[in-house]
Amino acid sequence: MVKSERKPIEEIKDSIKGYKNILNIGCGGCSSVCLSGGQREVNMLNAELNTLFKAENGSQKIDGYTIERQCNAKYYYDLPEILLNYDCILSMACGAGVQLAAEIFSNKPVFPAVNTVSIGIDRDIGMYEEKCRACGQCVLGYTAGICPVTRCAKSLFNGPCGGTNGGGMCEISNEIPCAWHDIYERLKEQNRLDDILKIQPVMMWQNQVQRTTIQEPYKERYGK
Amino acid sequence: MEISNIFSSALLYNLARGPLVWISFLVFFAGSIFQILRILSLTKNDERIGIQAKDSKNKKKPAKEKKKEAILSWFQQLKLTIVGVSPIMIIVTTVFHICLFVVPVFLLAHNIMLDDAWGLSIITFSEKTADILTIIFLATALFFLLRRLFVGRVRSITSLYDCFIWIIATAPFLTGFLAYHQMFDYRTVIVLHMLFGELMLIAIPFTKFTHMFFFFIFRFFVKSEYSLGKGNRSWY
Repeated sequence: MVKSERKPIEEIKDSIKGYKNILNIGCGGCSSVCLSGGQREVNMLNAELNTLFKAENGSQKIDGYTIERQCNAKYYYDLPEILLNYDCILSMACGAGVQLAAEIFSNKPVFPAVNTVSIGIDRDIGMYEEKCRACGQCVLGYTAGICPVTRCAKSLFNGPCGGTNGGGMCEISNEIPCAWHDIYERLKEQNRLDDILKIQPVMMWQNQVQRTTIQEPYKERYGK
Repeated sequence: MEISNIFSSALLYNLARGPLVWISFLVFFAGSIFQILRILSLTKNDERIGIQAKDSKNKKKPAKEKKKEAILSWFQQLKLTIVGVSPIMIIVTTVFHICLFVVPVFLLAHNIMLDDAWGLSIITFSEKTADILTIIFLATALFFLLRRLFVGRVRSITSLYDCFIWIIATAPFLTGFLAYHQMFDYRTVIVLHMLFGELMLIAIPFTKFTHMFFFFIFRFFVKSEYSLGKGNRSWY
């Protein structure tokens, strides 16, 4: 799931400077689950901002509204009418949600209140670990379920660099395990070391275009 | 035999003030221990994960620095919780639960029996105080009943079981109040009071009343986004 974290309050305050009536839109999807931008976090941020506005004797005011998911236009049905009373939008959704809000309400400025950090897993309450960079070319089947793009500091696709130290740690820090060392160990444990020899084509980072995903059963419907 | 005669009969009276008291206390204590152990066995203490070494931006800030940076006062933060969202509900439920616990424990009549039986003397409320607290308890219980009947979102999740639980919780107080004020046939009312009290004790470990223990376990020992404190148990 997409993981995000709230931006520093000063940055948020600075972005909405100059707008009198602000609507903070929360997201009931990933942001809510990772405790960064659900209804609870919207209320908390608004209380903090309103306190700061009051302290500065300013006339700024922020209200909140949380929708089911900000990455799907069908959940925006209430907002056009509500937004008539507001000058700008603060969004607590991930980057995708912010962009959809900006696309739908193109006449209103939309500012993000969270930083989209990763696609990750829940390690514990409020603790998440990145596991995927959404590179669009998954090699986990050959790498024993360990992502070299995410785990390797250089995102190497075909084996380690020369910087792995003797203890199986990365050259950038002795605290960080080398992804390729771990891949080797796990493949060995599973008797699949042959997989490590299969050369993966390099990532086509250049000339990339914005990706659209259509699931196979829906290609009939949308594909041209 | 009329129903009032059954409740005022010597047999039921002696049963209610004798063996049933022991049975209900035994079931209450044994059931409560069983439930607490059951919940503890369903959860386990997690090893705390430390990631500071891996990621320095996640370093814990000293309390002093955190306090300095805080924009909201503790009261403003409290207002963001259920206390601020439903203040009346919080006040009523707090009063209800305090009365539910303190009235029977510190009631003069109960403590005289305790003194007579085991020579155990604990502080007691004056009769007038206990009477007022009972009235307050009954008023808050009525609030809950009206809420269940007339607030749509609460009514939609209310079943007969909830009404049954409400009756078990309220009846000992109502009958105790009636007995103290000698309303209706005293013998019948006092037998009903004892029976309802015993029923409540027996019901605590095996019905929704278990929240009496589970509240503290879930909020203080099991970790969740709504934990109060640093409980480190998680579900298997």
